[in-house]
Order: sequence, then C-alpha cells, then structure tokens
Amino acid sequence: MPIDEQGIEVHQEIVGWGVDRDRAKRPGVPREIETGVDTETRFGKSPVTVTIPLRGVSGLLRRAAYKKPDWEPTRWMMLLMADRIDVVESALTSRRGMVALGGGALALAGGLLALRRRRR
Amino acid sequence: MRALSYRAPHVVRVVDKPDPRIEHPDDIVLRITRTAICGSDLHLYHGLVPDTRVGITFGHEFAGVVEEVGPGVKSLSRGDRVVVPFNVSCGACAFCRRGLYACCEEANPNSDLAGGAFGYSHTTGGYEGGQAEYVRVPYADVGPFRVPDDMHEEDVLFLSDILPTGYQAAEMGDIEEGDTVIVFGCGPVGLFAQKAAWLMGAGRVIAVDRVPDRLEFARQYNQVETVNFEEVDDVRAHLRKMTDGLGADVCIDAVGCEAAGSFGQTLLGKLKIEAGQPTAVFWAVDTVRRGGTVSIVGVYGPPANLFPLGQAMNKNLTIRAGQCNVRRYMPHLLELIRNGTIDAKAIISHRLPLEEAPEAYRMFAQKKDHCRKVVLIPRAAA
Repeated sequence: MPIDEQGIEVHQEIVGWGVDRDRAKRPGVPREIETGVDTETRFGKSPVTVTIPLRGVSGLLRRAAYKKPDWEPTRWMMLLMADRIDVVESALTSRRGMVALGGGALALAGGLLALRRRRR
Repeated sequence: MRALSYRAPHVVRVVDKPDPRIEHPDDIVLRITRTAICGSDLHLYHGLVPDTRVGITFGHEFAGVVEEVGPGVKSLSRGDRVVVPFNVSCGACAFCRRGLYACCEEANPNSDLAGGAFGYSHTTGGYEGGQAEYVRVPYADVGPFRVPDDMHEEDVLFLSDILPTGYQAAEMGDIEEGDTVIVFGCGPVGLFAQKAAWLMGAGRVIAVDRVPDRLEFARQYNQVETVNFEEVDDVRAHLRKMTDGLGADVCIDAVGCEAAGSFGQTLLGKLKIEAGQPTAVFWAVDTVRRGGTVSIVGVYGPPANLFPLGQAMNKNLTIRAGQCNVRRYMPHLLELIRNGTIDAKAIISHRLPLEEAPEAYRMFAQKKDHCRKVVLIPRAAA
C-alpha cells in the first residue's frame, strides 16, 4: 500500500478515500457557525401541530405529564403509560371495538337473564 | 390520501386520512414519491418512544414534488422536486442561526429535550410523517433541498437522514488520517458512518454486528473488516486484541437503544429500569483507546440510561453525541453522490408499495429476507 508524505498508508482501493481529510471540507466543522439568517419573522410562528388531539384518560395523563419538566423521569413514565392507555381507548372506541363491546354487553345481559331464570 | 397509521406496538395500518393543507404562509404541501423506513422508526413501532399517539403517521425520510406553496415561501414553486431533512427547523431561532438545526426551539413546543422532527411522536412536535401520499412541510424555505434535474429522488433520498447522520457520526469522531475506527452497527447509518470514516482518511475501519448478511454487505460495500459479536467469546477482548491491546482511536455507536449483545442490559431495558439497552455505548467506551473519542448517533430516549462514567473519565475520553443537523450536510454529500464517491441507493434492499408498509415493518423489524433498507412508493408515484 502506498505511503503518503506523513507516512500514512493510502487506501487507493477505497473510492474517495481521504477526500475529506481536511477538516475545512467537513460541513459540520466547526459545530457552531453563523448562518447569517435574517431573524425577522414575517408571518409569526408556524402553528403548533395538533395532529392528534388529547382525549380520554390518556389525554388527562398526558396533560398532567406535560406540567412536569423534561428532567423528571415521571414525566416520561406517565407519557409511556398514557400511550398504552391510548391503545386500549382507541381499540374500544373504534368500529370493531364498539361492536365487540356491544356484543360483550349483550352476551353478559343474556347470561345474567339465563342465570336468573334458572334460579327461579 | 392513503397514509400509514400507528395503532399499537407492532401494529401499523395504511388508512385513508385527510389531505394535509397549507396552515401557515411558510408551508408547502409535498406529494411524496419516495419514502423510507428508518431503523429509528422501529423504536416507534415497538412503542418505546413517549407520547406516540394512536393515529399518527410515521416517516421522516422522504422526497417528492411540491404540490402547494404557501404565500410566504420564496425559494420553491409548484412542481419542484425536493428531498426534506428529517429535522423541522425554523431557521431563525438562536440554535438554527448557529447551524444546530436539530435543536430548533421554535419547531417543538412540547419539549426542551429535542427539536422538531417529522413523524416521530409528539415528543418531537407531533408532525405528521412522510409514510403517506402527501405531507405538510413547515418552514419550507429552510429545510427542503432541491433534487437536481438530472437525478432521481431515489438517488438523493438518503440525504434526508441516514447519510448525513452517518457522516456526522464520523465527523464527531474528529477522525485523523490513519486513525483506526470501530463502527458498532451495520445498518444503514452504520454503513454510511463506515464510508465517511474512509472519506476522512481512516487507516482502518472495523464494523461490528451480528447479522451475517449485513456484515457481508459491509465488507462488499465499504471494504471494512468485520466482527460478528455472536461468534466471539468477548467482543471487547476481541476488538482490543485486533488493535494491539490499545483500542481504536474512534468508536462510533450506530446502534441505539434496542441493542442486542448483553443479557443484563436487555433485561434492564425490557423492565424499563433504564430507557433501552445502551450496550453499544458500553462496548464503545471499553474498546476506544485512552484519549480517544466515542461518537454516538444511535437513538436513545429519556429518561436515563446507565453509562460507564468511570471508564470514560479515567481514560480521558471525548464523548460526542447528537441528532444530525441535516441541512448543513446536504450540499456537500450531494456532490459526493453526483461524482460517484457515494452510491447511496445501493443500500436499498426492498422497494415496496406504500400499501405493503405493515408487512415491510414486520420484515424490517425481524430482519427477514435479508432486509437492510426499505423504500416505500406511494401509488401515484409507482
């Protein structure tokens, strides 16, 4: 393998080897730069995206979680718990969920009625 | 429109959703022609990211055609083809003005922890993602990057996330000519980190994973040395031996919070005693030389993880970590794609219709069918 002027092996077999050896070519160096952007905001902030509004028990839990600061572990545990509750709530309130709930309620009512008749 | 919708951990469906619309003068609406599934999407898919609401659309790697333009947008017109950074960045806040587009304080009012991102839960702002036919892109004069007329969106799709992320990983390692670099992970980000390490003049690049076909691809695509950590007794001892007992100059974690390789870490992660498994971080700290640098681009979330602080402190290590400030890298990496130095789309293993997204997620999560990178194609673009 060829050696360059600094005594480093040059990997000629690697396409593009060393093209960004010079740190000045690396776009993220230095880490902080001055972009020189005009900071005047002409139209105000872009609206907060409320793509999935808060609802139900999961929504209550999320609202409570957001009152806690980022560095509190309980904030994140509450949000994760709310995610699980959200899954159940969404399943129950979906079309299939409502049918299943309705069917379950009917089955329960029928079973209780049959039990009552049997006792008589 | 048709769009992916999260229903529960391990359950996503493609459903009808309302078309996005212009909500602010600086918005565009993009008709998506190519969109990819990222390894970090699997953390969402597995229910590990806080505030992942049922119904949200995932997807932060996408390109397409501008369909509608808000009255405040100056740089784009209807019909322009663009690839969009996964960051949602206002361009004008204190962080964006410093080039830290991943840290925008305007785009994510929900948290100080992270900036805004497309399709990555309400923890990063709740923006709808791009695994859909259309998406609203805020701050359209800041993020979207034009696709050259002589290139296809697929040629540059990975400028949205994984290619700049892999490059930034190597850059944060401050690689010098002749350095030995270990990259943990042969997924797409790991592959691009390996490639970038060579571009920065590394003398030796060693890639670590456990999936044989991913290791084989890394050898072919990047001409790296590889280690399958399931085929050695102790991967840390093995890597130290490979580096004459000294360790590597730079170690890169391109794995993130669902790492395999340690029973103890996996147990702690599954029991939610820590936020995932930082196994790759431990291995990186243990196999980097004294005075070396550990670079972390694997995705981790709150609240906290174990970390080998004693080793890091006593070894005089430099630890760098971060989400990628994608927009800064796009022009430079586009030129490397254009001149043939990087063939980004070569890592694609599967191209599937958007309608097959649920099966694609299952396949990607289980690494079946030699799955490495899935690109989804909405029906209008097929």
